[in-house]
Amino acid sequence: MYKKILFGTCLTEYCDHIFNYTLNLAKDNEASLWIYYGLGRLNLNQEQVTQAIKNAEAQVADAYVERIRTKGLVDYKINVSDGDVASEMTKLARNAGMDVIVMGTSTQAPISIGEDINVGPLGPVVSETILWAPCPVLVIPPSLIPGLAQG
Amino acid sequence: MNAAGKIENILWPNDLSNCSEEALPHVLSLAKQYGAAVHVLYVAEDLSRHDPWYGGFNASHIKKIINWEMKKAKERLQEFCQSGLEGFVGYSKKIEVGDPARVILDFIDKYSIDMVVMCRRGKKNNFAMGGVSQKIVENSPVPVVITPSAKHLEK
Repeated sequence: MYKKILFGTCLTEYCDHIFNYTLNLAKDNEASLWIYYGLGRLNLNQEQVTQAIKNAEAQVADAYVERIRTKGLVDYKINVSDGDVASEMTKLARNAGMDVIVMGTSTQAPISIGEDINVGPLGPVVSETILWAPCPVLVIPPSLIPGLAQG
Repeated sequence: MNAAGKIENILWPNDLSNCSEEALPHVLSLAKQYGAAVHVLYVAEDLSRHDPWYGGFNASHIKKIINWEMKKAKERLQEFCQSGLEGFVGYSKKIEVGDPARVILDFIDKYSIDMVVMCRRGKKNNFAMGGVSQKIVENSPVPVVITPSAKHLEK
């Protein structure tokens, strides 16, 4: 079903939960898991951008690699870039032939800022990703987070 | 996936548009992968909920229009399912009347839906993202897969 899954993260607690869902999805489908973290437009020189990307890659690896290995997945890639996040992520999805992009509703989702689990308005990145994505986009709501799920 | 890590019930809201049909392969792949049941839902817009801005209207006319839409939707949904879901036994179809987004959200609760799959554009195809899809992504308590339309991918 899904052979290549792209997980878009902003390294928040909410993304941590979405990552668990993505890991299960990747395991079920024996898929290759790509993690994308966008830095946005940086007003820095080339050297500083390269350093910022390097630092961010280390942050992403710290946040997720251990869990990927624990889950028994070996086929994964970390991709960090600067530039418009939705545009870069959909470009990556197109170039790498992704089957699905997995992401949350918003960096500002209430759970991310320590409030309740109600779904808020869609963030600009997910809205634009849905519009530009060459593949299906799977949006995981905050209400699905274990222990906080509705109903 | 639900709390048990399974996808048992997939909802495919269908407005009988081409775009809805384009989501079908995705729905079927997911259903086969997870052994899930597929719920096909068509929602007829409840015209009577609109305010009578230009004076009262005859409720029986509205009822006739809705009944006609329900009848046509039933026939078309039957054709749709027979051609698209042929050989797939685990599906059920339902036609409801009301505000489409509200009915879909209620359906998710009522039938313990684990995932919704719908197309980005709706029947009207006026905007890049349909109003119903947007409301569902913003308010759904379960994961939603939004599939792009072929028209969009051609660009």
